[in-house]
Amino acid sequence: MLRFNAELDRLMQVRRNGALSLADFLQTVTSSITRTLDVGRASVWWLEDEGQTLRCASLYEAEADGFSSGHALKAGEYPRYFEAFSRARVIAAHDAPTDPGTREFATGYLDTLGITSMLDAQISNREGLRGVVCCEHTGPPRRWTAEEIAFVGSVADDAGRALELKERGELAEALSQANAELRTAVEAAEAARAEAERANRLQSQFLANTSHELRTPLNGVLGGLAILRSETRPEVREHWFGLIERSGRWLMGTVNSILDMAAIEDGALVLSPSRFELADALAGAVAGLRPGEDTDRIQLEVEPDIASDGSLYTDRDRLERVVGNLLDNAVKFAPDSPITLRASAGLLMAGGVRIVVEDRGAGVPEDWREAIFDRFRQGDGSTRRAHGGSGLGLAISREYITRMGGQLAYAPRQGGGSVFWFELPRELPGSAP
Amino acid sequence: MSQTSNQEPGLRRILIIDDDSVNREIFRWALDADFEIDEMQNGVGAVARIADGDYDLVLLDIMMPIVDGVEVVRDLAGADLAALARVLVVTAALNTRVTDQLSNYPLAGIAARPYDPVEIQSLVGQYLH
Repeated sequence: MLRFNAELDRLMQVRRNGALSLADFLQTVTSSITRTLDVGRASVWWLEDEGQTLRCASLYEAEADGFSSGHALKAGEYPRYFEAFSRARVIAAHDAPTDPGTREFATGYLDTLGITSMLDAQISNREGLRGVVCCEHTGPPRRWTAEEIAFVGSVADDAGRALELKERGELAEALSQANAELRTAVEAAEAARAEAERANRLQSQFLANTSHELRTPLNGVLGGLAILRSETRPEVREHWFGLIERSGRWLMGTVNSILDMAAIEDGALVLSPSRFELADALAGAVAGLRPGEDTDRIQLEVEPDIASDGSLYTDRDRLERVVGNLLDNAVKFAPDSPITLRASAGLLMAGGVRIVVEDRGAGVPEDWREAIFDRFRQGDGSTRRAHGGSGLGLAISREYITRMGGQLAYAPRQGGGSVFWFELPRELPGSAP
Repeated sequence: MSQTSNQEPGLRRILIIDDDSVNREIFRWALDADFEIDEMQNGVGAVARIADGDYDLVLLDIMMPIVDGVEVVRDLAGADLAALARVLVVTAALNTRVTDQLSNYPLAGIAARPYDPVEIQSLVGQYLH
């Protein structure tokens, strides 16, 4: 009796110590039982498959002094045994081959192993019935004493608590992992939402800017036509015909840029090269500016080498639109000061040409210098058009120049103002002139 | 940058602040006969001009470079709140993003910008009887 209690205390200490894994603890349990009760075999089994299978978690065989595990018992094959241990806290079968609870094992098991008596105790915890502790005695049949029965019952309770602790630990870990995953997912969702919102805001802003950019010249066309209906002075009519035509052309350029941006996104942009003189294209860009812009302050400087040979074979219309966009920005953001449009031989691109648009305005703040080339972007989010146009002008200009084999960039002007420059090869790459 | 025309005494005075010169010309063509018209092509210096200019009506565009219409309204509210009652915001891009930003100011009004001279005369007529 004292011996049993001392062994139970020891097992409880081992369990509470928490240093052993559940599997190691069960080995301690099964070997302890064989020693304490002097039985040949002791084992712990867990119920699986919703109570339809018992699987051995640890079996200790004293004679072989070895542990094994993994064997399974099916409820379908041993219905009485399953019935018996689930009903009674303890099956104390002193004559196992005939006991109603254990006689299913008589042939092929008990006889093979020479087992005469069995003492089985159910393992249950807060979750209910979880398994069974099984003691198998060989030699002459033995009547189990009340102390032995109580001992096995207590060992089974201890095994049940050990299982519960392990599961609780696993649950806690699973919960904390699920928590971490949830937190990651929430953060990802939040980031995605913020990104979508940002994209959405940029797109709405782009739409607002674009509609403004389309409506302004359209107003010029329709307003001019309305004026022509009642205006009779020939020179004023002539003036409005001119404004209507230029508004229409500017509108066409804006529409073409929007269509090109869509084509670029589809990978479907096709450039149309032709042979022309650079100076003619630059003059064309100035002439094609937004109507009413004071083009007088644009100073066109063509370096002698380009003036004598400015022959290019590339996309003239798009080149003119790039120059037009750069000039349009300069006119808008650097009012009342000179603007220089300069053409020279390429500095970075041997044999190429370099075009510079230089103004004496406020320049582009340092933190906007890359963002201004983003599609949709207009410096800040206000209604102030930080680089004019639809938020498309500089983005599409850079796309055009890149596709023509060149590069376009911004540099602050010494003494204040902006320098937008680009360099181009004279021949459109990949084209056969 | 600014022009002054029809310096006849007694004519009511209108200031047009719009970065698009064709729009300014359309407005001028529509209003020139009945009003004295001044123009500005962006919001730079607009606050002082409005506060000091004794205009009967200011037609203010919103989307402008450098200093936009919203900034003009905000700064004018700080400098001369009463002057806002003579400012009519006229914009090609009338949307809630704009109206929300302006809703707290005692403006004369906010209108979509008309292009037809008859509509322009009628719009201005609503504010200058």
